[in-house]
Amino acid sequence: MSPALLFPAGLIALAALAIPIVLHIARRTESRTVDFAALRWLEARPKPPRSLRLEELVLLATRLILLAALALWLARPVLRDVHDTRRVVALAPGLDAATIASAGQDGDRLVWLAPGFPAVGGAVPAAPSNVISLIRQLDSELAPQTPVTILVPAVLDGVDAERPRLSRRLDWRVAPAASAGANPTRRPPPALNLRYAVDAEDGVRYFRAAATAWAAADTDPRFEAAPADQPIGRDTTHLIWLAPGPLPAPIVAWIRDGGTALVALEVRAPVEGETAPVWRDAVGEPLAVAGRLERGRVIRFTRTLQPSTLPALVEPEFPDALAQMLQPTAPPAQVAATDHAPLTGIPPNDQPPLDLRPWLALIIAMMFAGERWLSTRRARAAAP
Amino acid sequence: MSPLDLPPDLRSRLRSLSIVPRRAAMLASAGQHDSRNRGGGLEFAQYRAYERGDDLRSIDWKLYARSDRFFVRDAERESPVAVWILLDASASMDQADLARPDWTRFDAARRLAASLIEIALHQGDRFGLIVEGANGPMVITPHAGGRHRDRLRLAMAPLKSTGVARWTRDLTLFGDRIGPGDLILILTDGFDDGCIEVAERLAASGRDVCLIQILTVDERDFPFDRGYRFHDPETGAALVADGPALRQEFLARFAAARAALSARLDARGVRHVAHFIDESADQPIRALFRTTGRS
Repeated sequence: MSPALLFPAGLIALAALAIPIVLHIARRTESRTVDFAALRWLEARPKPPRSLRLEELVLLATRLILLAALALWLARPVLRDVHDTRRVVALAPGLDAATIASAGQDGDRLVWLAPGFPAVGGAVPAAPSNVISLIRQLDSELAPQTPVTILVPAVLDGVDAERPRLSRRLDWRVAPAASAGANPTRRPPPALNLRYAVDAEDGVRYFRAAATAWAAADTDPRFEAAPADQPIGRDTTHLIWLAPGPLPAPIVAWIRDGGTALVALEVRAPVEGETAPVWRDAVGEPLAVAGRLERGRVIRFTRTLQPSTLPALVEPEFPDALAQMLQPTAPPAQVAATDHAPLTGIPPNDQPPLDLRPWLALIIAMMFAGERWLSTRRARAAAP
Repeated sequence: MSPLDLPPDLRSRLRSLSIVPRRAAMLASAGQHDSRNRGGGLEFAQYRAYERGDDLRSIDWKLYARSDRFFVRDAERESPVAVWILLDASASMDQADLARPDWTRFDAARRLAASLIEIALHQGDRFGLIVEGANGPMVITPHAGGRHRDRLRLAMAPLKSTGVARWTRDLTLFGDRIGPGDLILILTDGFDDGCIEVAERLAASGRDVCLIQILTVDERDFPFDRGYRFHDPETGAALVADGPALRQEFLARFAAARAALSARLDARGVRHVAHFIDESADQPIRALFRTTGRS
């Protein structure tokens, strides 16, 4: 624990200490005239050296402390190396009650692995989507000497591809999860609905080919193609629009309601916010970009639908790429917690020093109140 | 409160006091004082019927001739002793205390004068007043009686103490107006050398002189706790100094000065007493006439 000043130049304000001292001394030079007929028996010798007697020492002391505290406040005092060395037990939300109850001993600090690290005892926070990120944050916010225990469920969600690296060796405990994780199931390929302009009918075949490729060997492809003036069905989830010009209002409303539309380059479709590439060719050039429109998605090709400009249309990977565009699957993010214990090796993070200014503000407020009381109380004779 | 309005407790204490001359009064024995003179009064007051034991010489024989009865002339007998009060009204008397700025030394002197007048009236003496101020003395000749008491109080009420009194200039006037056997009570602060000289000269001429030195509380306690500019109202001199630094030396020197004054007055046979203005007015009177008080 070592005190320090983050802004030592603020101590220049200590020069203000001279003001109350001068005020309290200046009163001495002012002398009142008093009639005194027995003057001849007063000593006529020169004035005795004026003693630096200060009046109202309590008030002066209060004012000096007030000013000194203000100057110190400006200098931003901190205490370094002040940390809590109690063991921190971090619990991931989702553990069963028995594990939570037996998690920590007396003197341990129990927190939830949730944003803000709320203490255990209140409401159970919602399960975070990024447990590993929270563990990294906890590691960086605690002093290197603080022992840490982390209780996680058997399966971690939302992890990175690499085991996390921390600055300390922590006690990694895996508890049985309260609920079993659902097994991922393979989703069926989407049913395609296609609307085209009469002069753009050439592009339809690529998508029909893709839908045929998705279908099982002995079933019909889930594919429907119609001219642009035909309304779309109610159960449509994925729409491919190949008619140049602006999207009609019903289609836009359908997208806003949650639909996914893949449009050709010539289509003018409204998009909110930024667009991001969702399909790239072998050299990394974006072939399609996606943007959001309220709850729906709008995907747009960046090139015309011709094999000369978009060779990928006729390559065998096109059906998979199309399915990935229309139904993006998340990358694998689940891992067995036992296999994901953090590694050590990064340098510890410097802990922020303890800021003393809130306490100083309290002292300043008390001194100010005391000074006001002392200087305005009724028993006082005259100001300084 | 006006200094001339005596508080009831002071008034009751004054009843037990008396103004006693040092020597027995030379004149008639009508007053409280012993006398060697057996003469009657000069002013006719009333007739009364003769009683056994009356002096035959006091019978009015002409009235007996007219009425065939004995009548005695009763006289208004003058008191043999006149009490003169010399009130110092110089500027130094206008000094008040730090603690009580509305009660000056002059107020205390006037209360003392009013108390003395009350006693003199009670014991039947004549009393007169001389106020010695900057514009020469104001003299009110002695008489007895309540109306004269009121006249004096009326004269004292508007008085202000300003300027410098010139005592020695008026010494001849004092000698002319004050009778040789009269009792003189000087109420002063005693800081003016001329005043002391007048007291000595009057005492040397055979008159009975008493001096009450009226001092303020500040002169006794010197409670100045900070720097002050001390100003003498009579000479105009001033001294800027720190109160606590002066205190000890002043108290010593002031005590020495009072002792010197006391010795000087004792040597001339002037009875004297000190009176601090926070004390009751009966204390100096009691102290002054204690030793010669009558039983």
